[in-house]
Amino acid sequence: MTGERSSFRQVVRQVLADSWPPLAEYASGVLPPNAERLRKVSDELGWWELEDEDGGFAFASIAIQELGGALGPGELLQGLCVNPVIAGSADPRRVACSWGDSGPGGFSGEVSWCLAPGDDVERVLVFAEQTGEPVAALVRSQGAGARLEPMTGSDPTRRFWRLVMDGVPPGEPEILARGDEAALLMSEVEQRVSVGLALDSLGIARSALALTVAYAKIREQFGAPIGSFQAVKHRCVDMFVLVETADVLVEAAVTALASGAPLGPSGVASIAMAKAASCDAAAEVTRLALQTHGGIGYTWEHPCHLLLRRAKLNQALGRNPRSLRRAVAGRLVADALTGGQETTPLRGERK
Amino acid sequence: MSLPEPGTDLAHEVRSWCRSKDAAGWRDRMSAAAPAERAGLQQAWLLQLAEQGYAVPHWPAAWGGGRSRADQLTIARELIRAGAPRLDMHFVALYHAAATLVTAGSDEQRATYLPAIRDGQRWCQGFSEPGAGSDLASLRTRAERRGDHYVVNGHKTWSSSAEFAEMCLLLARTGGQGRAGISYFLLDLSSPGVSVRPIRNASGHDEFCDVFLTDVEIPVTARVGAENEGWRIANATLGEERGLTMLERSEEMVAGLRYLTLAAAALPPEERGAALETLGAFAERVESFRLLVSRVLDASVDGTDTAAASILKLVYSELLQDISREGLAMAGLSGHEGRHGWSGTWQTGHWFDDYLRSWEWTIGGGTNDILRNVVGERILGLPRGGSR
Repeated sequence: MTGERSSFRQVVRQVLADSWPPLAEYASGVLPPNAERLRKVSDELGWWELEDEDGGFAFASIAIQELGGALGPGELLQGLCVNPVIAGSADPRRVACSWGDSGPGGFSGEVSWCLAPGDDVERVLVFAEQTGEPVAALVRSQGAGARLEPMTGSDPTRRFWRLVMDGVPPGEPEILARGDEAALLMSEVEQRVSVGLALDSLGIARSALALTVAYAKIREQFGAPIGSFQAVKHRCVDMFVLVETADVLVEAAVTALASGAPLGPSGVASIAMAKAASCDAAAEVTRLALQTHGGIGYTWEHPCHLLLRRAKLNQALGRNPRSLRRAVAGRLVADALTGGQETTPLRGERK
Repeated sequence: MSLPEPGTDLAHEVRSWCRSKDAAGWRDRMSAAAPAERAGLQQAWLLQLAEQGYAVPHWPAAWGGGRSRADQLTIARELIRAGAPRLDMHFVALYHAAATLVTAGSDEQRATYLPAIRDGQRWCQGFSEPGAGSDLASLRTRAERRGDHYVVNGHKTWSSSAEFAEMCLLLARTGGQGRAGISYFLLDLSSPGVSVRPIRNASGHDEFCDVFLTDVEIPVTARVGAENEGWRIANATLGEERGLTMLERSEEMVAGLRYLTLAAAALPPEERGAALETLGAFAERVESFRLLVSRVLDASVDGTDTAAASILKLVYSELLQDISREGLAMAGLSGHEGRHGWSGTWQTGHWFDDYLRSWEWTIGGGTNDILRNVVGERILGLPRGGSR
């Protein structure tokens, strides 16, 4: 299994090398880069159906992480993460996805930051409240009272869309699920989005670390490579520690999700921790990467700012690290107060 | 995942023994004991473990070990989970000295010392000197060859538990400057000219010592390996069993997180929101550390290398310092009240002492600053600095 995974990683890297601009040239081209070729190749290779196979999410997770590191198209993140949940209800290649609860407004107002698998989207997956209960529905993107328009934001490496709904007829959205079933679907999408963003961010952090270490080895000042100076060397090690400590959490979250079994409290916590840790790690590693590169890192042509832009947006997309941490901590406190936690017994009282 | 989880026969066997009369109550007794008494209790506990075959499973079979790496971990894991006391006073002997003897010692040295160590002989480490800390290779303790023995003069320091040790792993200069002039010796601390003096550390404990050496005679047969080969030997055996130490630490850290949880729960509602965020962040760091330790131990079972091994001490020591700092902050004045105890609870039973003692980990075993150089150079491949 380990061997198959590492050869799949090689395949993903090869595909990216053939159909996607390398980081060094990325910012000089059109942003985001044209993803048509990459979409076609990945489709032919069956990446969108990876989960039909055993341990499929483990493979999908490799692709998502590598795509993050290459600042790959966001539509593949959406395809790999969300489609398996909605497959069967619609053609996943024509469905855009919102990032969770769109609020109590029902099918009116705006849903921003939708990711779409391409330009020819027909429907948007929306979670809303209708007559007091949660519903999961597909809204036609150019149907009556609705339109999907491109939006701009801080991160030019991915395309995002805004669904504007002003007068969707009540019978129009196609309801996929109601009540508990809809809530379950929404939390499943949220969890997948969390793990997807954690993987994307881990890829970003690894790329930022690699760029920085490589630069610290060749950039010379005061007659020596800057990586020989402790101030720079130690910062690189701090970046490495951030990547490694996030990596194990992300791996655990992927394992929890890939098992396919319904998640218990520890699985839910595992995903929350992976999202918070990895997105924060990428934000910090890219911050340090830009600082270490100095002036060259602050030019448009250099990929540092693009990695940082994407890392910062990943923190804010889905659930933010603060609310995730409060949720994890809230459960710890509840367990400690009720004695419900299976842990090492406390040895003696504590001052 | 290659680690056998609880449920295997060995795990079951160790767990049952931990619940038996022979194994009960040791930790509490040790927690309450002063250092000298604790030394005796640790020795007695070691003998109990040895009788079960749990003391030296990591040694070669010829010397009473020969267990697979997976079995070693099962034994360690079950003992830790059952709250078995730590054998800190025997750590240098059981791991560091034993690894040195096994990999570089003579047959005679092995036959003399390995059985003695298993029977409770305590060892300490004589590496650092007042002028040679991070720059260990600049050490100045001198060993002069005189026929069939060496005459040693110098001053060693930060030698943990030397007061209760019988033997010392000694590095001394036999040749020129730098790494190439250092030899490795097994020093009997009862030799004439050896004087051990405890140093009271910042937390008020006498855990480490100065070791003064004045015209101390060490037989040539007590040298490990060839003359001037000491640096290489020391490097090969220094990191021995960091993984196992960290396994224990990661299990204890779960208890530490629980204490922080209780401290957060005790806060008034208006302060709890921010504290929950902090607590959640530490839950992440503790879980991440546990997973890193598992990754390193899994790799050691498979016989592969992982970069995670190089950062375990960095991650642990900084987590310990940060979590005890937050615990102290949440506890407020009550975290300062009372007197320090021994390591009966996590870690000492007192937030301020836990915080202060965390520097034993950020400085000890190679300061984290030096460790960052090592990781930067060996793992990331960054160039060495000009001054070194």
